Amino acid sequence: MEKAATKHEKNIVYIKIAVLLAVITAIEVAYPYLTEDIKGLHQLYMPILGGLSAIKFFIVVAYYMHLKFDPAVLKRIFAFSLSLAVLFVSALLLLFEVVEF
Amino acid sequence: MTHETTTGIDNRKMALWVMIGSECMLFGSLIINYLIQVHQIAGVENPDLIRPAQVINVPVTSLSTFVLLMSSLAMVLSLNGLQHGDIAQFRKWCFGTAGLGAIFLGFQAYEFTEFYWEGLGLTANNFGAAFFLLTGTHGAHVLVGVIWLLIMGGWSYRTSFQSEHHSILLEVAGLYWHFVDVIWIIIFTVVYLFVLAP
Repeated sequence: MEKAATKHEKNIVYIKIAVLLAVITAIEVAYPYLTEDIKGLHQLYMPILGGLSAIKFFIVVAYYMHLKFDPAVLKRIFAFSLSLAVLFVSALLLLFEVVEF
Repeated sequence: MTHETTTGIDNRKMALWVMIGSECMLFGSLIINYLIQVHQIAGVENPDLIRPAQVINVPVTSLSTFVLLMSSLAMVLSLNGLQHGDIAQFRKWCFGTAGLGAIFLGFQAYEFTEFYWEGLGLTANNFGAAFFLLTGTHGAHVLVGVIWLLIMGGWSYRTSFQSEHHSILLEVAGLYWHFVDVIWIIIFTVVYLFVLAP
């Protein structure tokens, strides 16, 4: 996408990504109401919402922040710091028993 | 303007990514602080204690989230315009991004005011303190981004402005803006949507 695409082609790709992000957000907001009577799906609320927001997160980082097309060193910097933050958050979630195994 | 570097990456872009790395830790600690405080007040039996489900307004925040997501689209369209020498597209979407950021801040001001009138101030309880600290820090980042983009847009009216030289500066501003957006994606889920959990 980065090298050969014209300005117009890139604009179209960015708009499609924005539509995808908006659709995922709409699903996130509607999910608890849509699955209210479906016991199995309603119980999966938090994992599914966490998964959907992770998808949105990585779409923005990969395409809008261009990390997908950037040199490996930038990917490593981001991956290292994000992993450290996730590890830190997970450790404290367990330490304060916010989540339990 | 652009200097040769050993990595082949512009130093300003590299610096911004390092800053984003440290910001991951900052927001990680604010998010975990919020979750711990909410978890701890959940076990307190006090009918006067204001809890997240009583004040969080998901429909309004969904709208502000949509505004911030669309500001990210405006940001990439602005950068795409500048990288292709289209100053008009750059300006239109650069100011558009700043405008959408300002609208998001307006939503946040409305929400904070509503919470205040419902009795949830910064010092009301641990939930209030953690909530305002997390969302307020994010709001401050948005404000910095809005000012940054207004300066970038205003700069383009100077005769010394050249798209090939200044596109890297807009790219750096854009990285910051998108990072503020991705952090909100996490905050929206953790603070607002998890409230609806069964």
